[in-house]
Amino acid sequence: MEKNKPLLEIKNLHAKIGDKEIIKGLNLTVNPGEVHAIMGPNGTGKSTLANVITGKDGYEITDGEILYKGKNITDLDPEERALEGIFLGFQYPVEIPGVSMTNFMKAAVDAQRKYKGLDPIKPGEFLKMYREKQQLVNMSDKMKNRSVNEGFSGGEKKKNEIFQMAMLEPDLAILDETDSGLDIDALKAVADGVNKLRNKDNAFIVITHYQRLLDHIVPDIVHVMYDGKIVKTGDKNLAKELEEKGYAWIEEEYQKSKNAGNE
Amino acid sequence: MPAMNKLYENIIRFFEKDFSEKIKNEPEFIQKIRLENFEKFKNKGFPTLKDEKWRKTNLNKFTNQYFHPLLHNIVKKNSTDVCIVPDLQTVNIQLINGHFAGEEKLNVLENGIIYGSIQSAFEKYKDLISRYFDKLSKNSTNPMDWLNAALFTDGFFIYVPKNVKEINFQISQQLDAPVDALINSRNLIVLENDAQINLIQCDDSNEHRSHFATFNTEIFVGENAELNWYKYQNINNISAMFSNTFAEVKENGKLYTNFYQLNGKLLRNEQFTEIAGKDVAVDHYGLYLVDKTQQFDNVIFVSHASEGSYSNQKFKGILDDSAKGFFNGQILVKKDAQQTNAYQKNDNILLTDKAKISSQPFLEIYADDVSCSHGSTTGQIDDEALFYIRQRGISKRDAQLLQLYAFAGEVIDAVKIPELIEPTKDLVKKRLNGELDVCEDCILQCANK
Repeated sequence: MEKNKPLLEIKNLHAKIGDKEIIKGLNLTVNPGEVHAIMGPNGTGKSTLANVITGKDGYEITDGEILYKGKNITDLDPEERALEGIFLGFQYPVEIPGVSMTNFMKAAVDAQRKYKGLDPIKPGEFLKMYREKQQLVNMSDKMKNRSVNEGFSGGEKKKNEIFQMAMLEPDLAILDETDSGLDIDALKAVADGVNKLRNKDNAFIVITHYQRLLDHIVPDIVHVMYDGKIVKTGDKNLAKELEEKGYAWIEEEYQKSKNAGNE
Repeated sequence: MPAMNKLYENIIRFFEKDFSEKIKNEPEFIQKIRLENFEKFKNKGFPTLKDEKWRKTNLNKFTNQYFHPLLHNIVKKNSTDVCIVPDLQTVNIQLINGHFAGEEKLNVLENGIIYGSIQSAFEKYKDLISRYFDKLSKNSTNPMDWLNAALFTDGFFIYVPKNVKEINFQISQQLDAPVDALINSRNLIVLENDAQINLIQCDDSNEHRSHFATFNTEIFVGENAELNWYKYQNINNISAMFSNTFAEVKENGKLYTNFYQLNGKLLRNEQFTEIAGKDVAVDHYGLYLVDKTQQFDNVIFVSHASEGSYSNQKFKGILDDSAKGFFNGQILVKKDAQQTNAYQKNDNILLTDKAKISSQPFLEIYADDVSCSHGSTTGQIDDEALFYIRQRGISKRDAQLLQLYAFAGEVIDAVKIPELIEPTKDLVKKRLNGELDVCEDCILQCANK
């Protein structure tokens, strides 16, 4: 089978915040149609990776490149990357008091349409789309008049991320610990939403601590991140192994190989 | 010793030489008020940085300048149809350089409402006016009030008889002098018991002349009466305007103000509200959008002298570039004002390191059974929220505007006249977008163009 052109190619990426290097030579290739899981203990750079790919301020890329659809995107603004089809499901969705969900989504959809040279979406069409996507993640209709994330429960906030993803139909979605703090029903709703949106042209990077979410969103490839790098890659069984054995053995293996490299 | 400066000396000379002649035909009680206030002003001069409420407001740029005192209205406009809010039936009042500009100086409507030039009303409604005029402002310690009382040339007068309700007034106040001008205007609004009116005011100016304007208004809200006042201020960036309002609200009365400070070099609004009866409701809302080297001030004093009343002060500001703002809000609850509910909040966003806000909330309570709160916040645009919004494909500029507009929402959402909601939103959006220019007509009208 002929392989598609990669959607995302990260080559030898080094990134730091202030003086602290967080990403230390990371390589990752994601092809259309794939779901990747990135696992690993806390503080190994998973969220930083998500922020660097999406262009958040405050990170300095000191080496390497991020190719998206074959183009280096490291100089693009966050909104340009978003308009190119990269979506981040936030670990901590931000509350924006005074901005209603519908206004926010209308602005986002229209920004995307403008980028594609289209006129703003018609109100009727927008509401129809809004309703459909709400149903996809089983989100209550009363949320739409509320301010973005304001007063939402943890589960509602995460569902809201998936809802926004459904509205914007990205080519590459990065879900940063979307499972954290979710009860099993919310987890299923989130996973269900993702599974419905999966297709041969888009790709997902699911960042998670736990195997739990991966029972519902079955990944094609599982990576383990440690000390700012991807130190192990496998199939979905790797996630199960991690669930059983924890991360300590990864750490040991990594230290061993590091020492061996130094000798 | 008063602080010497060009404007002060110019005013003293003008009053003593020319003006005292001109006012000799006025009723005696008015002359007396003028002279008393002139003496006070002469002794004290303009406020300086040493005065408590002026520590952040430097008048030097203006007081070292020459302003021509305007005795008469120089510019004539034909139309009084200027301050148009579409679909709203209104009585229109136009003030040009502080002078009532209508053909008829005094008008009596079928329902008994009297409105027109206050100068003309001094003669025709002397008894009525003398019952109210300067009753609330006479104890002011603010030199700007003394200046206004001494030197005002005209202003508007509105009298609403008992039971007359649901009348909308549009007041278009234009600073349109052909020279740099000193303008002092004085207004009086009297609502008898059970009366209710809305005022929609815009303050505008021409582009090229510097104006130094004081605009004082006394308001009497009778029992069970209600006044709602919306004001949009958009004057050029070389002019200063001091709008001081004194209000008294009687039992069951309601006073509501919702003011937008949009443009001007220096805009200062002072509000003194006396709650003089039971079960009164007072709301003072304000939004100030300040940039470049502009400075907008708000000084609010609400005094609860009677029990069971409610007051709420809500002022929000966004300051960009090297802009400055000053907020001084005070709630006074006197001994007998039990069961008072009084709130005050001032929130600010500073967009740059150079923008400055000085916020001083005060609460003074002498009754024991009250519910009061006050507070002030100053912050920046939330970077996390900015990134969140941009991550959805919305440009940095739009993401910022979305947040700023949301911040302003609390004031805009308080607009109660349906026809006024969209124009208000438009104005705020345009201002935040840097698209609001000087408008020679009413800004509400210009913004629709």
